Amino acid sequence: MTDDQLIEQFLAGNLQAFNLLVWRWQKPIYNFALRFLGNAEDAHEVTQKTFIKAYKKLHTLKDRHKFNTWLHQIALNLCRDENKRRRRRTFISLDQIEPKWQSRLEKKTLPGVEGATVEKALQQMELQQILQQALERIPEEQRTVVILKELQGMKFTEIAELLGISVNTVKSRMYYGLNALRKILNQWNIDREAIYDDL
Amino acid sequence: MTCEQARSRFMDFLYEEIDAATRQSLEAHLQTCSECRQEWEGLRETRALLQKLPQLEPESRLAFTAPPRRSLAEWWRDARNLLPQSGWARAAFGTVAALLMAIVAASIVNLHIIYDHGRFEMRAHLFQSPAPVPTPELQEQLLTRLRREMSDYIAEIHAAERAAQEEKLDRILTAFARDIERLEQQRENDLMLIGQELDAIHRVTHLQFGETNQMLQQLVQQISFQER
Ligand SMILES: [Zn+2]
Repeated sequence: MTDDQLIEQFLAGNLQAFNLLVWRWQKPIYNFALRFLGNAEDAHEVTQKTFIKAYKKLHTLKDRHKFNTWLHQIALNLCRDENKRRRRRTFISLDQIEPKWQSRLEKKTLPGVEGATVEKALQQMELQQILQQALERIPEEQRTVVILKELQGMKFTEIAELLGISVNTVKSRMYYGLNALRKILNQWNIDREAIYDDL
Repeated sequence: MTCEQARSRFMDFLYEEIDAATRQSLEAHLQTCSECRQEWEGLRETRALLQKLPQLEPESRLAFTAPPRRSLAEWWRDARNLLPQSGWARAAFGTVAALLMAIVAASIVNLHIIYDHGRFEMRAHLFQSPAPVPTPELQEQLLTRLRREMSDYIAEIHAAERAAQEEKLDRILTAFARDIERLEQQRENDLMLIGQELDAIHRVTHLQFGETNQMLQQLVQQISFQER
């Protein structure tokens, strides 16, 4: 069943139809929030709030085939709110984090642990954390576009519509975002071999 | 194509939202301009890195229910009814126990049964005993049969209880769906998130098999004790 049909059924009074929509979109929304916020707990909360809001506002959605972007729009707004709230909470300086990455990366094996599998798994895990940290360092408007494009697989036109900006602006944010990420990764002097080896 | 024009096309090229003609002239520029080529390679590598970020599974599934006319306590009572009913398990357990008796009677004692994550495993050790013991072949046959029949039973119980749970959950959801128009007046807190309840059901199912396992072990220990 398509999203349109489920929305129709939900608006006609079938709650199960909405639950199907939730089950279909929970994972993408959760991952969007997770990459945006970098924290599973907050991402879970945002996901929950997103669907509660969607539940209440679904009757206002005019283009039903745009459910995906509409839902992401809700999630994005909630993520921004969450970020504002958090900015007041804590601030970790760059100096505190970067040396940690570097020392851990230079030390490519764990003491007493051998084998390429362990090493690789460790590198994969670190790579994820490093990428997440880098994502959180670029300006929010660039990060938003990078996540929507690269991780959520949206088209430039969809992102433009979601954010209410021109396609060219989306592309230039993407361009600056990728370049900024690259600069950060270079600054951290990440061992290219460690992270590029299985590209 | 100038460098500036080339850069303005990088994103289209990177995400393959580009027409063939533009692509060709961009590729031609990259062939001749090392500065743009270097930047292009950097963008490509960064993109490849980003693609390594996995899509993670959320910890629990969300589900909406509308419990307007019921109290929370009533809802919980319904939810608890979703937990495995003992009738099925008891019947199967009886048969399994009888089978075990037969094995014990064949003087196999100290039997260990392990049920772990849907896999069923059984180990038996023979006591050094003056009593006549079955031949190793017979023991093996008996064990094989027991193992097979028990895992069949466990699978059956599992399937039946899961079906019963799903049906019941479905009924509850449908019942709640009927009251949907009242939901708007509900506070946000009243939107129950069933995900955790589903997890609980899952845990209890496992727990119950764990208990069955424990009971079987106790039974075996008792019997072997009496024999000695
Ligand atoms: Zn150039």
